Amino acid sequence: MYSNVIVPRQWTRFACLCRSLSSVEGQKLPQNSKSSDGISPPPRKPRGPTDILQALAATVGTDPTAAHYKYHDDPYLIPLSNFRKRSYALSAEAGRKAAAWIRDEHAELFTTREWDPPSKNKTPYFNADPIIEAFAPKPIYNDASKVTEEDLKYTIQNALIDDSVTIFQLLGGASAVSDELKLQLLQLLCFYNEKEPDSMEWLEERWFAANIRDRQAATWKIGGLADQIFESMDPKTPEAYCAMIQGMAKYYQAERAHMLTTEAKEKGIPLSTGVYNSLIGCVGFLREGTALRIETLRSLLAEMHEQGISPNDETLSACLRSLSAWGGGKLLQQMALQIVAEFKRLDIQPGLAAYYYLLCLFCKERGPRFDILSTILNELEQKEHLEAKEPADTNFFITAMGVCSDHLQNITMAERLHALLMKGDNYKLVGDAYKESIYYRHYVTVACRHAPFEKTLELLDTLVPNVYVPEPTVMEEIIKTLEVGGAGDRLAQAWSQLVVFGHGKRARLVERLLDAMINTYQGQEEAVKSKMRAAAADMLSFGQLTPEEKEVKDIRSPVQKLSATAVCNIIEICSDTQDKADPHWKSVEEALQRLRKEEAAGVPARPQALADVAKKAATVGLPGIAATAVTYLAECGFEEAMPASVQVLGTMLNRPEQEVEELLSQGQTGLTGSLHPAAMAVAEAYSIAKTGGPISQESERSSSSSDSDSDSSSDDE
Amino acid sequence: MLTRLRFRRDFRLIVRCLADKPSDSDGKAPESKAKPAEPQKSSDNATEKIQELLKLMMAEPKIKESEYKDKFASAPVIQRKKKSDEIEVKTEQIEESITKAAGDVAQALGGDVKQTEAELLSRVLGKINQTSTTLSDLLVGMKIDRSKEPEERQKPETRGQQVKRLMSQSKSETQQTRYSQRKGRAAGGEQKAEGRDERSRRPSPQQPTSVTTVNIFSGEPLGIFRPKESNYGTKLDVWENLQQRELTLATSQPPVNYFQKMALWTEQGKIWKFPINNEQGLEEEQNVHFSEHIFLDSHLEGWCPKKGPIRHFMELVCVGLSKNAFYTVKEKKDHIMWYKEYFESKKDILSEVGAWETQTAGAEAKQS
Repeated sequence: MYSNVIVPRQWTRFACLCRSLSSVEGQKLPQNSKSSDGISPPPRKPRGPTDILQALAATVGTDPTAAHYKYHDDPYLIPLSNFRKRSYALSAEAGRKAAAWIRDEHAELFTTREWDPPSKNKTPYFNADPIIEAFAPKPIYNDASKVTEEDLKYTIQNALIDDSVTIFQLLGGASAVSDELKLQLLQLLCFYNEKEPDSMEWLEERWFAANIRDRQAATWKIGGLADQIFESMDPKTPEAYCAMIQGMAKYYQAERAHMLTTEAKEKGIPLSTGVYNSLIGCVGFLREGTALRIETLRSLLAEMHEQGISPNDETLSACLRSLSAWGGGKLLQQMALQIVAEFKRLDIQPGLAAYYYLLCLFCKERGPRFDILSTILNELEQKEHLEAKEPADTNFFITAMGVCSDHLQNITMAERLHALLMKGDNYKLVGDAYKESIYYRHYVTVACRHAPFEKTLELLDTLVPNVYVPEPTVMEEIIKTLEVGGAGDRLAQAWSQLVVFGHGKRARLVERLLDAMINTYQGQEEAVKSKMRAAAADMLSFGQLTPEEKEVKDIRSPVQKLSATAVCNIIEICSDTQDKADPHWKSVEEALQRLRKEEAAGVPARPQALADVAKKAATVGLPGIAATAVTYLAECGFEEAMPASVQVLGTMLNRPEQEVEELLSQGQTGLTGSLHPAAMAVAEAYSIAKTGGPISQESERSSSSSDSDSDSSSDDE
Repeated sequence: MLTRLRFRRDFRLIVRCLADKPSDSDGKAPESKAKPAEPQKSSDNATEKIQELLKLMMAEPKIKESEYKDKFASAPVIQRKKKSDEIEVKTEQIEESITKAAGDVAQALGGDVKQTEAELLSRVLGKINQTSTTLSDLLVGMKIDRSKEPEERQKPETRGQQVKRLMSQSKSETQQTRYSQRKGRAAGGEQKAEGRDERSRRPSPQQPTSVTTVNIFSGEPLGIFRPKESNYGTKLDVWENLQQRELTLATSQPPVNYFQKMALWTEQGKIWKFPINNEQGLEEEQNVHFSEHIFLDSHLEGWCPKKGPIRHFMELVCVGLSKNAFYTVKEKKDHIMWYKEYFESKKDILSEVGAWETQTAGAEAKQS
């Protein structure tokens, strides 16, 4: 018993000692796992500095109900619209950039330490020893700075094009710089076409940039520094030729690239796979017509084989990129399949970029529907994790989802694709914010159209609003789905979402939502109904400025007006109550006023609804509202005005309709004075509706009275 | 069976449109607010109206493209023939095909075939070709049904009417779906699924039905390359580095949790690397044995007096330096050398005081 305890402890101590010994003495690792006495400590695994962190990060799941990590976790600071997401994240980035700017511009504030002994007093002194490059001020090069080849090497390694060009000039140009450095600089210049690339430091900026750098045009700088350096090199090495050709081909200067290639071949200079890849990529700029282009592509491949240069996966994607850029058609598609088969024989699997180009080639907007995506998905789902091989890989998921949504209209495929994206760390392949949002736009659209209702709701709950904020078109799609699904409370909720997402002033969307609400209103539970009423009332008041505000803010762009139909819908929803004291009657009244003042576009589509509201208002005991509604109907010339006014008056006076009609036919004079002002207004309305215009000369007075008495009557009746 | 179903549905749509219309034209036609003074047409008798209608028909030049399209959208029966609507000139042809289609529909529906056909045609052809020979048939059809209908169509649409028409269209659609939904509710889950199906089937007429599955690996190889030793030709190291850089940029994302942020900072060289090692950044010292850091007396050999205050002082300096963890060996050596130079510059005074003499002799003897 006792020994049982003691023995393991000693063993562990021994193992500990062994480990410390082996690590102290020159960091030797135990290579053989089997030692003489039967103890086999596991071999030490070499770990990189971020391995542990990545393992820990993998244990943190994603929480769709929380905002992204980059935002402050505070209810007031969580962005809920696309605009806010963008501006919050970029504000934080701007702060970081400002700090870096101070550090670089005022480096002297950080580079002295006065208490140092004279021997340690280095200038510049960086506030750490050993120096931390990331925190050190970035060197600024200008005409006065003293530079060495070391500086040039540094700038080339960090891809600082402008700086490296400055240093190159300061060093004395092509004649004074060593050949090796010249070659490196040439490669840098050719790769970026002498344009400063994005910085690695500012991730948010890149994420929100939506940079469409790929312009399919000959943008190569002719006679630029790259050309000069190349001219000055003597003898011209194969590397120089390769860099030059690749650069020219990358920026679509096809003619020159081919000329240079021919020259190189004549001189017997060995070319590379990269050169041929780039040449294949710009075949379209060299030849016109599909047949000719395909012929050139074939001959390039054949030439590659002749030169004894083997293709790689980039060759495959370059071929497919060219093919997909030349339009569609059976010929190109067949060629693409042949190429894929050819490379498969060479054991080169197409990467994501290759699949992307295939999708572009086969799934055209207008054309026969091809399902190549299922094969691709089968292929990709077998892989452990997807590896990014070239920047174009990030186009795959967005395009594939687009194909699911528009081309195949297949929700199962979309779900498979989404599962693939969520697997492992594949999410990095989504690209940037712009691509991500298009991806989700497609996904939500296809889900709304084709997925079962419950599943759609689940998806929306997960994605909206933290992962994705729907654009107006998608919002419309969602509203349509909710309407068909008859989800009244969701529709009421959709209104608050519209406001939060910043779509609240889009009249079209609001009208669409109101339509949906009207169509689903009946058959909802009472609690839901009241929510919908509240939402409708809120729609009315949203975006309305108080008169003082109107004066202060000189609004240049006119606010979109809701259509009369929409306002009518609001009235209809809000008036669904039997309680006279219900605050929604206020909204009804306001909406009616707006209709009368012609603050709504057009005329209502269903005047009958308005007539019903008038009757109901009269029944409940709000003659002011009833009168306004009927007068509006009459003024617009709807034929519903006549029966409605008769009925309303009947309710008000508590008489059968026959009697009321008789009363009205007597004419104006007998009634004035004997009736309540609201009832009088209804009578006016009747006469307007009957004759097509106000008979009595007091029309102005009557309409104004109906306006003014609406308040008083609703108060004291 | 399926087509028949579709016909039935479409027909229901049309019927709904028809049924909706007259409801608001029972009394008098609604007037827009813009023209309140227009005389009341409602009181006119039927013959006058038809006269007027005919006049209007003659006068109206051509159909408006937008209205035409609108109408087709509302009646999907015609949509199959969408191709032919591009040739506007050949109205005869269109009419023929539409008549035939309407006939088909009417046949499919059964019942009073002639009347159904007339109804359909009156809806569709009302605008297309007023001067055609079928006009009389058309009017007959209208008389049977509702004489008001075409008159309303002929008037230039006011905004209100337009809105109303659009409303009624969309409503008929939604009503239909609501109907199926209600049915689903009544009969429970199974039925619901069916209603769902109906919905998803709805867009199907608009799209080409066939999806061709293509296996992307089914192609015939070109037969250009033969697998052999790989040879990628001239290598461009800077170019490859830059490619790698672009790839990293394209797939980099803002960190989504603190661990990722730390990993990012580690990669940027802003924080300690795991496992923490306080010699990070002092890699050049790694190959230096610790004894060189600690036993510094050897640097005193050759210049320092063997004994005396200077020797004593320098030994203390060496002890101090040996405990300093922040200087490199070279810096320690430089430090000692600095004292050497200092003392040598003060040699005269030191000799005078007697702190240097013994050493000098020995050193000179050694040098010589």
